[in-house]
Amino acid sequence: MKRSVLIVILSCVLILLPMYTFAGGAQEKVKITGPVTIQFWHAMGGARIQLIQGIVDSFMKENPNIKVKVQYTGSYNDTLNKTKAAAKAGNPPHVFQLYDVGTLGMVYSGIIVPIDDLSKWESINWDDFFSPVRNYYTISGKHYSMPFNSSTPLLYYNKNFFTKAGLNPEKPPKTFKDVIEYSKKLKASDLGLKAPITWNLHSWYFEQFHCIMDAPFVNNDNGRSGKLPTKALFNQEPGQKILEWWTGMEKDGLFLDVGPGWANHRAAFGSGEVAMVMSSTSDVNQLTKLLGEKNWKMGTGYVPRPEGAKGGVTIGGGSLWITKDHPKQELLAAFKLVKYISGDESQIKWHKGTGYFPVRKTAMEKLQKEGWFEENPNFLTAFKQLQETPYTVNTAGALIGTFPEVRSYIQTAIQKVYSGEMTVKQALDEAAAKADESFKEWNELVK
Amino acid sequence: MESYFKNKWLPYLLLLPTFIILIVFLFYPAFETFRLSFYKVHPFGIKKIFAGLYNFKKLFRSSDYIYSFKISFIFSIFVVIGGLFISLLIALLLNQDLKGQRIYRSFLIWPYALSPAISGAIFRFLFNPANGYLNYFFKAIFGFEPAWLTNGSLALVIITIAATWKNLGYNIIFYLAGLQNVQKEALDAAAIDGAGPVKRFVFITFPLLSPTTFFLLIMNLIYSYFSSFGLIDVLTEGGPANATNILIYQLYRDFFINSKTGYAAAESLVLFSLVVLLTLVQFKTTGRKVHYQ
Amino acid sequence: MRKKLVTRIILHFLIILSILIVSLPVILSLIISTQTPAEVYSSPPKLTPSGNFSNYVDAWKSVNLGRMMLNSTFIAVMVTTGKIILSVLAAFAFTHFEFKGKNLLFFLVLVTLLLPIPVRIVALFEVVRSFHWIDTFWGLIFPFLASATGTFLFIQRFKMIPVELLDAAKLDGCSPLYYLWKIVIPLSGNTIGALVVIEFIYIWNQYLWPLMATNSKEMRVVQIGIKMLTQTETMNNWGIIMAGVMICMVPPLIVFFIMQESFMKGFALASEK
Repeated sequence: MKRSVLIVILSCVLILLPMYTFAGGAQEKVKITGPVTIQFWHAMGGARIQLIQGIVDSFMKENPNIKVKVQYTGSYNDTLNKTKAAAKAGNPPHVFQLYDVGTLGMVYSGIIVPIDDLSKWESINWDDFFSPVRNYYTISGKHYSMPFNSSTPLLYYNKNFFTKAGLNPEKPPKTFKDVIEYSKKLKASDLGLKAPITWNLHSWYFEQFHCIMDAPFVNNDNGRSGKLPTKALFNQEPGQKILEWWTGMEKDGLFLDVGPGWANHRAAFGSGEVAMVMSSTSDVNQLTKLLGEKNWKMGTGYVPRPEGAKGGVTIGGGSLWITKDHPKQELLAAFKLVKYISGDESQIKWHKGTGYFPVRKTAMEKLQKEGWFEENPNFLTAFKQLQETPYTVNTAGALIGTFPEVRSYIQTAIQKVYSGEMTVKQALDEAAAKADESFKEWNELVK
Repeated sequence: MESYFKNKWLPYLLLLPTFIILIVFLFYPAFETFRLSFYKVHPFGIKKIFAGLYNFKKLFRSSDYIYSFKISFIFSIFVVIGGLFISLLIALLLNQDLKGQRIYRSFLIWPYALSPAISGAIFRFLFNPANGYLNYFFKAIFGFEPAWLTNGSLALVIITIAATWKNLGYNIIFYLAGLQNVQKEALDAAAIDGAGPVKRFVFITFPLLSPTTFFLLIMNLIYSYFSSFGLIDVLTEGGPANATNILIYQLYRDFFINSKTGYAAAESLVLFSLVVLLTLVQFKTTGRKVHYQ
Repeated sequence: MRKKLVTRIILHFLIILSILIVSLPVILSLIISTQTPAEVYSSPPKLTPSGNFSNYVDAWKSVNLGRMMLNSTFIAVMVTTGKIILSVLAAFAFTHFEFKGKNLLFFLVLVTLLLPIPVRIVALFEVVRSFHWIDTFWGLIFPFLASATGTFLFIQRFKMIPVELLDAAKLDGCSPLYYLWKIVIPLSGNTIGALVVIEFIYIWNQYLWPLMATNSKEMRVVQIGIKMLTQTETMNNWGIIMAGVMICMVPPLIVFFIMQESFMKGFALASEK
């Protein structure tokens, strides 16, 4: 009974939605007549600040009527908080960049306008986007934000250290077991390592391993069934298996705990304190350069997986959101900007400068034609890894309204296992209970 | 003073600017915080639900909050005891009749100009788990490298040292001022009586310094509860596993990162009760009315 | 009583030792701030300074430190000046006039001691937001213009001014504000000096409020810049980070050393009951 009602409603929505969009397209035309100034806030530090400025500069050259004020506003969290504050104060940036996990929170924020609502003014070819990227940012069939910087984790290793330890420098470890075996060998050889492997203390890896195992992170189809998630599932068997392996290596001195943040693990790898590191694919350039300074060669491999795991990595990174309370011309300008940034030219520039994936198929084809991947095999590893990911609700990544909070619970749980205060199961159960409580409160407020 | 100017309206006019600021930015926000603590608020503020004592109940049931309470307490006790002890020692040294004391003094009280964030950044550089400057030396000396910032207890030790270091200047300045006020005659009289320097300190100087000590005790408590925020944010962000998650950091997280306005308001109220308590104790014991940030 | 030579030598040694210990963290930071990336990442760490001053340029540029220094200075100067003016006026009212409700008003000033920023931050944020003052200088200046600290410090000082001066002034028919300007303020130099140091450093070193109340890079202050430096330097290049830290330490140190004498006197005075 319930099910049939749902089906009826769903099909009505499916029929009405395109009609609505179409009707909207027929109704109004917006054109930018005079000079328009818009704000764009992003969270990409370091050399990336200049890179983004460069992309925006060429956008402004093409659109002399539009002036874009670009600002680096700190980490994703900082950018989100500042946007929140600015929205409350009534002057939010037109465009801001937000991490993947902020997606659901933003959908219910009441401050944004879905990209689909703007594409009635100027079309956009969604089919050109890579499906994992597109899937992540599509909620109940609607594109809410513009994919921009997409990345997955990647395993980086120091080839020189591999050779010295008697390992094949062209064969990175593939499974959880491999990692332990390799690490033991690396540890046994006299390389002056602090530990063989590290990655930063971040829930992101924990989430990615879930995707790799094709296991749900929360209920209601990973939050993608159209119902808000009400229960955390990351404390179940897959989650436990992941953490047993991860924290077990730490206990055995195979894994270096460098704490949270995105600098320490890179620095440890770059200064030769570890031989392997997991980090974002967007680090390819930085890490290659860092190792090059010491005349070391760097290799890359897929994120290791437990034996028999069927899933694959999901995209992480960020997308661009447009806030709603602006004059139409400014909204259109904002739309043009995000469209430009997700366009081939910008994405190729962005990819070459950072290692983030181009989000469009045509951009990728152009890169392939150029022979870019033959020269830069490490970028190819990252891309192939993502291509091999099968699509399921689990590999699309979880949608959670209170994701930043949940992440902090998970990170605390991992640290509690490190310190021996709790077993893996206890720590995960505690984190899941806190997560459930946060779901309940959040769901009540956004209802 | 018994003599006053006679003017009906001028004193009110003189006080007006101060009170405008106090009402708008102190009294009203304080009252409003109190009110918000009874609500559940939408992360983007578009909805508010009256929740009665929900936030407070949740607060005192939360193991994280109780833990944060404990951590704050331990942290503040060590910052106070360590800070006062070291600065008293240094102040005593600086109070000796020696050549060059003016220059020495400058070189010992300059940490007053340090900020918590700078102290945090410097300690991060020294003790960071990856390429921290001191790691190598610890390994060379002890044969192993303590996990300064990734082990909970050690991280607490580090933030305690960093916070104490930052506040040394302030404490030394007050102890120096206190020592200079200790009656010289009393000390000289005691010296004539044949009391040694240690005896003189224990029986005369220290008791005479007790108002200063008590004042500093309160100020250092308040400092460790509130002003050390920047230090924590730069150095540990409350980690590992909440080991350095003092109350003010938890408040910041809940308000600013997790957007739980009502819950955070309830936390503010707890902090308020703490300040009231400390201030009452201070008034009861010393009757002093001066505060310095 | 002159101390024995040995005692003096021991005392000098102890003082110099304490100076070294207290300064060591900064000395090490200073050393690393002059090293090249290769030296920064070397193991064992290099203990001597190099000549790589480009770190300072990099730090200055990477988070726009120049603008932040200007912001922090401007805010600190404005708050310090404003607070001194408001406190002097209030203290003058409390000490030189008899008026209805004096005790109540004094009590209200006293109560503000119970309301440090964290206690009211949630709603303070809302208030400043409703004025559209988030990310403006106003939002960073106005909430700090009045405080009990300054008022009490001046009350203490004003109470020590001999009553005879006031009586003489009244006999001469001198107006209250003229008396304040010509007699009271010139006699309060050290208190003003002390307050300048306290407030300038307090505001310069503020962290939590600017972190929440600003968001654009044009409005960021120095302390937030330090955190941004540690985040922007994605590989922990301590050379650059510490160079930035050193730059940020300079202005409060300058204020501190210039005003040191009157600061100490103002303090000594304040602690006389």
